[in-house]
This record gives sequence, C-alpha cells and structure tokens, in this order.
Amino acid sequence: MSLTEADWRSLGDEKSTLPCFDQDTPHSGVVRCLGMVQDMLAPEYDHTNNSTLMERTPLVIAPIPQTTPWFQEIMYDSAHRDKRLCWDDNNCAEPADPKVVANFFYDQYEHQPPKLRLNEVVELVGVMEQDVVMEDHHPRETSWKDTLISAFDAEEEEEMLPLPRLQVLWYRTLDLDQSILPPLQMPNPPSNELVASALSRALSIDTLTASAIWMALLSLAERKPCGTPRRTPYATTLGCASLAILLPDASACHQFQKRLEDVLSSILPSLVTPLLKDLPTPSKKSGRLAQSPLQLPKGATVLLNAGEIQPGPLSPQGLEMLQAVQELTSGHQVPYQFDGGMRIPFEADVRIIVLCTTETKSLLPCLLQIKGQPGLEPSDGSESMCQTIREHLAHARSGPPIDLPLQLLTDAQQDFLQRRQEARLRNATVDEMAFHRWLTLTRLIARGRRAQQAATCDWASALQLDDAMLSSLS
Amino acid sequence: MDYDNVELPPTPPRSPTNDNNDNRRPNDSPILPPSPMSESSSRQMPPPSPSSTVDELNEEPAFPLPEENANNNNNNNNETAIDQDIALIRGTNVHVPTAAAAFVDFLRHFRSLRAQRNDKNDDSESDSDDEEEEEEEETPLYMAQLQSLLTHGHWRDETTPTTTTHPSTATASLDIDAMHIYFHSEACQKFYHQMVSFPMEIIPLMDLLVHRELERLAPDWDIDVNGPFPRVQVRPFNLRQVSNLRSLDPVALDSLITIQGMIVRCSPLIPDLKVAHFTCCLCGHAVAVTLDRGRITEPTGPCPTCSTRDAFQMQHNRCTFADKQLVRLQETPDQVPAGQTPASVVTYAFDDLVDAMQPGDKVEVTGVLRAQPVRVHPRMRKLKTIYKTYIDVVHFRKLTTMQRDEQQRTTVPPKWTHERVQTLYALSRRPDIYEQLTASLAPSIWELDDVKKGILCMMFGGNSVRVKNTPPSNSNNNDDSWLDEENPPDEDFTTATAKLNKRGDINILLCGDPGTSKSQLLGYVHKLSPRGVYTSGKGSSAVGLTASVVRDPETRELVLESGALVLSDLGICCIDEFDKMSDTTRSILHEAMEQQTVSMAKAGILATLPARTSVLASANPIDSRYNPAKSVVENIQLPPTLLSRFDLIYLILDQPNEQQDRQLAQHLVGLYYETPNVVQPPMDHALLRDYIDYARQNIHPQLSDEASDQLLESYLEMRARGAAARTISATPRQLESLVRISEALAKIRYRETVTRADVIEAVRLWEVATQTAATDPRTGRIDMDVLAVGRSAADRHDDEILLVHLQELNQTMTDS
Repeated sequence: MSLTEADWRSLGDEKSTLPCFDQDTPHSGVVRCLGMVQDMLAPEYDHTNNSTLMERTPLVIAPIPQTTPWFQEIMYDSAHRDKRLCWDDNNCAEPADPKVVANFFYDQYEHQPPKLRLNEVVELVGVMEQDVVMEDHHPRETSWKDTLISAFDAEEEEEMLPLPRLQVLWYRTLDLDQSILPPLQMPNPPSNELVASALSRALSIDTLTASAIWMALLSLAERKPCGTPRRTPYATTLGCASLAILLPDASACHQFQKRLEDVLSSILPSLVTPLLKDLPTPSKKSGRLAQSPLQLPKGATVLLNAGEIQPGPLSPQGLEMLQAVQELTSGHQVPYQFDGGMRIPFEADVRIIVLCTTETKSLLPCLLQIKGQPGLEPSDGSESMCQTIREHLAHARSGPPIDLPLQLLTDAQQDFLQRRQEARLRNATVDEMAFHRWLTLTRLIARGRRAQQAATCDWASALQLDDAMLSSLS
Repeated sequence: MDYDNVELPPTPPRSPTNDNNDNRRPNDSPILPPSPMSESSSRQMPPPSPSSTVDELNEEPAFPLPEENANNNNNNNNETAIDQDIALIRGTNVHVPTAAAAFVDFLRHFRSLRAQRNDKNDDSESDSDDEEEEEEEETPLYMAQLQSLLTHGHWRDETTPTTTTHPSTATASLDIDAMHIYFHSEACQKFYHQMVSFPMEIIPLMDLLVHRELERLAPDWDIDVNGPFPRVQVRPFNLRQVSNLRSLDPVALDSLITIQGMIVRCSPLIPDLKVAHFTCCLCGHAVAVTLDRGRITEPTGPCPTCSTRDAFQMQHNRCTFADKQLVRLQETPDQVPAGQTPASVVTYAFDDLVDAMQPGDKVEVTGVLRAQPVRVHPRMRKLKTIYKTYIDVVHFRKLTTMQRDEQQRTTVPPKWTHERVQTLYALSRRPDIYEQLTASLAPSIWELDDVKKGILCMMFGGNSVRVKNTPPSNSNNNDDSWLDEENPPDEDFTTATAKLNKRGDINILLCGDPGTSKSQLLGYVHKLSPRGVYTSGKGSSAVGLTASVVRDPETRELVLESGALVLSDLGICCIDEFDKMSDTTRSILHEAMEQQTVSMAKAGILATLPARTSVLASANPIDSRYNPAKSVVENIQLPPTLLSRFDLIYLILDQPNEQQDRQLAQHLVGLYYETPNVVQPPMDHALLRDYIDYARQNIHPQLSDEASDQLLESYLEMRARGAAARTISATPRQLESLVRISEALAKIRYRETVTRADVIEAVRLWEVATQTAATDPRTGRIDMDVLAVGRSAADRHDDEILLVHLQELNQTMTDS
C-alpha cells in the first residue's frame, strides 16, 4: 500500500499540516520528514499479512548535514520548525551537530530495487511502526554470559538498532538547489563580474579570488544518462572545480575561514567545515555506516582549512583521513571503508574550497589554485545581496548541462596545441589537466550567465581567468 | 533397473529419535553427521514456506528401493514399505523411488560431460571408434570417487566416543557437480530441479543413496577390523544459475542457490549442541536428550532410579556438539551498483566447511536460503513480523576471478570450457595476435606501443623455477625433480629446501615526464590483473607494502595483516609515484623483487610471506621534467640496487611532436562530445583477461636449441658493444631478463617452445626500454653501470683523472 503522486498532489496544502517526525513526541499516525540517506541496511522480509512474505529495504535517514538557518526556514515552515527532523540523545537543542544520526528507517515494498542512492536527499511520508520496543540507553551490567553470547553472535548488534521505524507511503528525492528555487525567474540576473564584485566586497578580498570562489560555487558534475558522474581518465570528475586559496599563514587561513563561513552561510543551503584533525572517514563496520562529516549530499559545500595541518608523523587513521580528503578535493569522490578491507569510492558532487598556506598547498590538490589577498575589514554583506546571489546560484545550478559547441571545441584544440608549444619554449608544462581545467572553467562561466551553451567568449574568459590565477601563484 | 524390493535405511538427520535405537546393529543405521540440512528442525521457519512442513521422509524413514533386496534384508528394521505410487514427500512433487532411481543411475553411470556429449552423438556418428573404446574403459566418475574413499580412507573423525549409543563415526564429503546431474539424462534433469527446489528433502536422500552405494561397494565390511561403517555427506555445487546477492527474494526461500562474493568475516568455532547429556546429581542416572526443533528439553521429572525431582544436571563434557561457524559474505566492489552500499548475507558453515575459507577469499557458495524471525529483544521470546535471511552452506568453492558471464554459466560450468579453450587457441594462432593484444591493452592511451608490449610480457610472465638447495643424492643426474617449475605449491618459504629461486615475474619501471599517461597504464593493468594491487609510493609505508602485525578489533588477538606486495602474490603490484617512496619502504622491495618473499619480525611473530609478484612502477623526475643531460639515476634519484632489479625501464618523455599533440588534443576534446569518443579494442576486457589467465596457468614454454643459441649470441653481442670503451653493456641479470621476456613472448602465442623469433623480439624490447635508460648521456654509450652502481664508466674515468690531477697539484705545491 503506497501513495501515488496523484494522491499526494490531491492533498494540496493539507500536506503541510502533516506532523513532522519528532522522536520526543512520537506520532502514531502519518508523519513526514526530510533527510539524507545515510545508510542502507540488509533487506528484510516482512510477514504482516499471513499469506506472503514481502521484501523491504531499510534505509537509515539522517538530517542533512550542517544546513544553514535560512535553508531551514525555507524547508520547514515556521509552524513546524521546532519539530523538524529531530536528533538523538537529547541533542535537539543543537541541531547543527553533524555527528548525530536521526533514528528512523525508510522501507520500500513491492520487490522494487532501491531507487535511492546513498547520500541522496529525500522527503518521506509514512506511518510510524507500532511494534518497536524502544531500547533504554542506560548501560546495564554485563555478565560473562553476555560476553560469551556476543562473541558467538556478533550479528545480533545489527538487529538491535534502537531506531523507530517508518513505513513509507510516499517519497521523493530532492536536489538542494532545486528545493530552494524561487517561484519566479529573476528578470535581470547578475553577471559573473557583478557577483564576483559583490563577493569581493563582502569578503574583503581581491576580485580575482572572488571570481575563483564564484567558479567553485558553480561547480557541478556532468552526468551520464544513467545519473553517475562522468569521470575523466585522470581520476577527476568532469564539471567539478575545487578551489585552493593560498594565504600567507595559518592565522590568515583561520581568519578568512571565519569570514567565508559568515558570508557563505547566507548564500548556501549546507556548509560543512570539518576539522581535519580526527576527521573520521566513512566506514561501515558491524553492519552500520558510521556517520562522517565527509558523507555529504550533492550540492553541499565543504570548507577545509589545511592551514591547521602541522608537520609530524601521521597515525594510520590520519593517513587514511588525508588520503580520503585528497581524493575528495582532487577527484570529487570519497572512499568508504566496508567490512573485509573493501574500499569503494562514492561520488561527492560537492563544492570544495580549501584554505592553505604555501607549505600545505600540495597536501590537498585542487583543480584551481589562487593566491588570495584578503583585506582587513570586510564590509557587511547586505541581506538583499545574499538573497540575490542565492537565487541566482540556485537558478544557474538547476539549469540543464552546458553544451560545448563543435566550433568552440575546435578552437580549444587549436589553442591547446599553440599553448603547449609555447610552454615548451619556456620550459613549462601544459598538460591534459590544463586543458580539462580550461574547458571546465568555460562551462562554469557559461553556467554563471545562465546560458545553455558555452560561447567563444566563455572560452576566452576561462583562459584569461586561468592565466591570472597561475600568475598570482608565481 | 529394478529397485522395488530394497529398503533404504532411515534418515537420521531428520529424525533424531532414531539415534537412540538401541536394537540396531551399528552398521545398520549409521548416524549421519549433523549436516546443514539437519538444521531444518532446529530453526523456526516462516509459515508460508511450503517446504518447511514436516516431510514424509522424517516420519516414514523407510521406503522401497529395488535391486539388492536379497543382500540387505537385514537392514529392514521391520518397518512397512510404502507403496511407491503414494511415496511423495509432503508439500513437494518428489516421488521418492523415481528420484532415487535417477540419482543412483547417475552415480553408477556418469563418467564425464564429454562422454555424455559423445554418447548423444553416437547414434548419428560412429567413426570415432578409438575414443569410444577409451570411454568404455573410463570408470564412472563418482563411483570411482567412492571406491577411492573406501580404499584410501579419506575420512575424518567426526565425533569422539561418548557413550555406547553414540559410536565413533567417520565422515567424508562427496562433491557433486550439479551440472553433471543436469546433463546426465532427462530424469536427472528433473532430479536436478527437485534438488534445487527441495534441497532439504533431496540432499538427505542423496546422502542415503550414496551410503547405500558405499555399502554395495563394500559388502564385507567388518566393523571389528575396519571400525564403524563410514558415512558420506553429499555436497552439490555449481548450479546452472548464479544468483545475485541483491536479487534474492522470498521466492528463493528454502531452495538451493549459488551466490558469489567475498568472505569478510568468520566467527570463531561455535559448538552447536546436538545431544545433551544429563545425570542425576544424587544417583548418577544418565539421560541423553536430543535436540528437538531447536530446543533441548531439560528432564525435570522424577529420576527413574531415585525418584528425586529436578535433580538432573547437564554434563557438558559428555554432550555431543557439531562444529558451526558464522561466515559473512559480501558483494565484491565490481558487483556493487553505483550509489549503493555492498550487500552482504550471513552464512552458516558446518562440519568440515568450518575454517575451510578465510576472510578475503572470493568464493562461490552453494547453500539453502533460509529465513529466521527477528526477536523484539534478544532476551525476549516475542517475535517481530520481520525475517532475516541467512544461508546454510552446502559447498564452498574458491574463485580466482569472479565469473560474471551468467549466460555462459548456464551452458558450460567451468571457466576453461572446451569451447573457450578452443576460442583462445584459435586466437593464439592468428599471426597478428601480438599486435591485437597490444591494441587491446589500455586502448584509450595513445601510442606507447612498445611500452604496452613490455607490459603485455609482464602480464604473461616467464617460467618461475624454484630450485631446492640439495639435489636428491639417490637419483640420477637426469632427474629434474628438484627443479620445481611453475605453480610451486604453497610450500613453507622458510624451509631449507626452497631457498633458490629463479623468478619468472617481470618487473617494469615507467619513468618520465608528468602527464604521459603512466598512472593510467598502471590503473588499467591493476584492473585487468585478477590479483592486482594498486598503491601509491607517496602514501605507502614499509608495513603497508609488506605485512604488519595488528590487533584484530573483534578478537583482540595479534594477527598478521598482509600489505600490497603480499596481497598481490601471483599477481601484479602497481606502485605509482615510486620515487616518492621512503628509503625504508624501498629497502623492503629489494627482497621482494628478487627473492619474491617478504620477511618480518614483530610482536613475537616471525614470518616469511610469499610475494611472487610482478612490480609495475612509475616514477617522475625530481625536477618535474626529465633532463636528458642526466642519467636515469640522477633524474629519478632511485638507488641503483633497486633499479637493476627492473627487467625493463621505459623512459616516457614528452617530446615535441605536433602530430602526437594533435592526436592528444582530439582525444581530449572527444571526451566532451555528447557521446564521448571511445576507442573499441579488438579484444574485450573479459576475453583479454581469459587469454592471459589461461596462458599463465597452462602454458610453460621451454627454450629451444635455436632460441638458446640466439640468446647466447645476442648476449655476447651486447657484451661486446661495451668492450671497446671498457664499459659493461650487459650483465647476467640482463640475460635472465631476456629469458623471461622470451618465455613471455612464447606464452603470448600459446607455444610450448621459445623460438628464435621470440628471442629477437625480446632483445628488441629490451633495447627499446632499458638500453635508453642505461645510456650514458655524456658518451651516448650503453653502460649498465649507470643502472647497476649509479655511475658510468666515463664518470669514474673523470674521477680518476681528477684524482691524478689533484695529486699532481698537491705534489707541485709540496715541492714548491
């Protein structure tokens, strides 16, 4: 039994009156919730009616990590704001803590293979299961018999997840950008230069760095028809551009990080700033995927401060973390560890900005690198400016994939040959990655002006921007 | 065949009460081992499952079988035979006599699949008389195995004597290829389907029938001399269809399935209680209670001897236990759909299957899919309406590579089928097979044909020879048994008899400018090799490459964890950014690349692990760009001792070439088209892998006389090149490399003999690769000292001149 799309639509405004899931005040009826697919558990066979067994796939849904206040306001109307996807362990007062997992399941019936992917954002409507016995979290004394039993029956722990269960009636996947789209198109969208200039003022940084930040915010993976990102032979994701900003020292990194957090949290729906020290990598041991700040939905933004990395020996966990973050910044995918030493990379179509010093610049390789020159006093970013950029960004990122016309590709080929030959004369290198970088920038510039097709002017702007970024480094 | 008057013995696994039949003779009703099937009564099955009902076989253990009635009348237990017309197992369509007849016919007459095919062709063709005669002489496969079991006695002790009612028994496994059953006859096809649909009924029946056949083979078994009559557990494997872990659904419950995956966890051995032994604590009266529907009922009534109530205590040391182990099976990374986490399933292994596999093994599991209700709380009996699935394992089969072509499996079971081998040999006879293979290797990478040819040789490999230290003294000189060539067994690497080793694995170093597709080549080879491991020198530590002692998080015991080199044993270890590796890590590679072992001593564990692996490494120059004015050693700053262990060192330089640049640009632009340009290789990935795998396993070419002469001639010529300039242009290591490459080239063409042409091509490949690397940039001459000691003869000469001049200067200054 499930609701169809038509049923859902016929509910109209009534659906907003459905109570949101709240662990403190459990509802016995229909509830709705919004979250991210955080884990996928083994399928189960249900025997609610006595005739046949039905298969279902339990998925663990967690809150979207580090959502910003304005996004929460949009997604949860004011009446239910306090009842939004609630957190475990009395942490409702601090919903911004990304390490807490929401405790309920998503079930899927009718022998359907799971259509949802890990880290996808979903909105669900379902009925709370009644037969769940809530476990008390008080530690109880264990006897030698318990130890013996657990040694022989290690699988029990998987079944003992004290999570409330939700029988899903209806669900839909959400895109972070599309979910915040304003109902009306902006009549005069700002140009790339205008946005860069606004960001430059808000962050008190040079326009070139602001342009590079704008490019990083526009970064979006090109996808195959089946939905998976297109990878290049150089272990990068087509369309994605991570940015590394070189700053004079660690304190400058720290200050600029604060500044970026303030400004970007007004523009972006989800901004994650993990501490590189003790950053756990996603790993599934004993049947559960431990939540990690590196587990992110498409469209989230990661701000990494490499300035905090200190020289010294790395522990095995530190090495694992560093390799995972390197894979994230350079290839836009994160390796997940599974039982048996299995390491599977998952896509991480997120926007990445790395703050680093000259010492740490090669630790987290990014597609774009620029030397930032932050000023002393940032001007206060007005709410209207943030609103404009936010809407413009949502529109730009929600558009169709940017097409590269044949003529542009031919010109690009010629330019590549010419620049390669010129570089040899200077004893410099223009390799395949430079070519990919130029074409990626071209796409991003075209997306920034909401075009459906890149033009020659975008290619020229991309070369100009790339040259400027390279010269800033030298 | 007539089975009408023979009665089969009862089926103890399904009827535990039969074990207590004191009136039977020991060899009349053997107690079958507690097979997975016998667990059916001990687990609670989901109600809707049809086969979960109690079957006739349990309740009516005797049913008619024909033939050897006269010989076996004493087995009759005075139980009434059921009319065969109604002897269907409840809830199934299994007609027991028909099924039994089909299986016995299979056991007695099946020889091989080839023989089956030929038998079918006999009606139409009768020209292959010789083959027919051979096949006539061929004994039935499974009867031969049973006879061998009786003759050689490959039994294992199942239990130790406990009481007189539980005599010592010995069991063995009979692995039966399900495809043999399927292709034997039409009746057997039906039997196969019944076995897949109702394994809990059919497999005990197979146990029974095999037992009867054993009795028939050994009618004069004397239990006083030979001990109790042994028992056999039938283990069918290799079903027609391999299920996907994700596609398992309730329809498959209680049926026999085959799935593939990787073992990720094994529990410790679980003693599974089968018969509990209670004694009265006052009078010592003993009572044995057998497991019934998963429970042991404690005797709480009055003791028959002393009439005391609640006086029974369980005597653990007198109980009967079966071995059981929980094994978790998980999808391999290549089976996991994008965006999904790997699916896994719990399996239970019993008896001799316990500890048969280790975590990390890729296996094909044949077993019965079962379901078990989940408790609301582990300490409460209340059940949820949810069932968790698990598999009772009937058979484990270790896989070297995952067989994913299910269409192929449905027709021919083993990997190297006759047809596949024919295809591979047909390919090998193509005159352009060398070029075809080269074009199929990393087709998306432009040019670099000679590099690809070298890598191809590495993937095929030469012949490895393990030479024992002490040749047998009592054998004559012609006996080469002390040369254990190819496929050395997993012998103890620390023994004194296996010290000398001539490796067949070829090591290759790719060195050159950045952005020349070195890493892509490594990545491709890693994916193609069945046991390939990819690691980066920058992120690798010595223990990461070799082995380390770590504490197991679950058992808290110290265990040996293999590193990249050990994991790629009999495969290829790809190491990117070789130059970034620390000196400590590099020093480990010295042993691994020549002796092909890694030794470690830590935390009280001393181990020498096999690392029979080819190393494919890539390195960048220290100044980002390769400087032709410097030697290889100066450019990549690798120790010469390590460099000399590479058979082929390729310099891949980014030289100005407009044509190549244009092709590269076109290739890059192609990635941005709506339908990206993809180069179609002449051989697909699976075929290429099979071609290489087959050659590695089955082709072991030997040097012909003409090839030996050519090798000698080429080697002397190479040595002569440096003689004039007093440089060393070739060393015995190069000769060994040439032998390995020549053998690999012969393997490429599936030849058992290395020809002169192979040697000539090997010399060419060596010259293209290593000669460039070993050329002294100052003199332009080949000087192996550049690689061997890091300095060329010209450098040493200059040093000597400088020294003389300094001495003269010193003398002059002293004199003045």
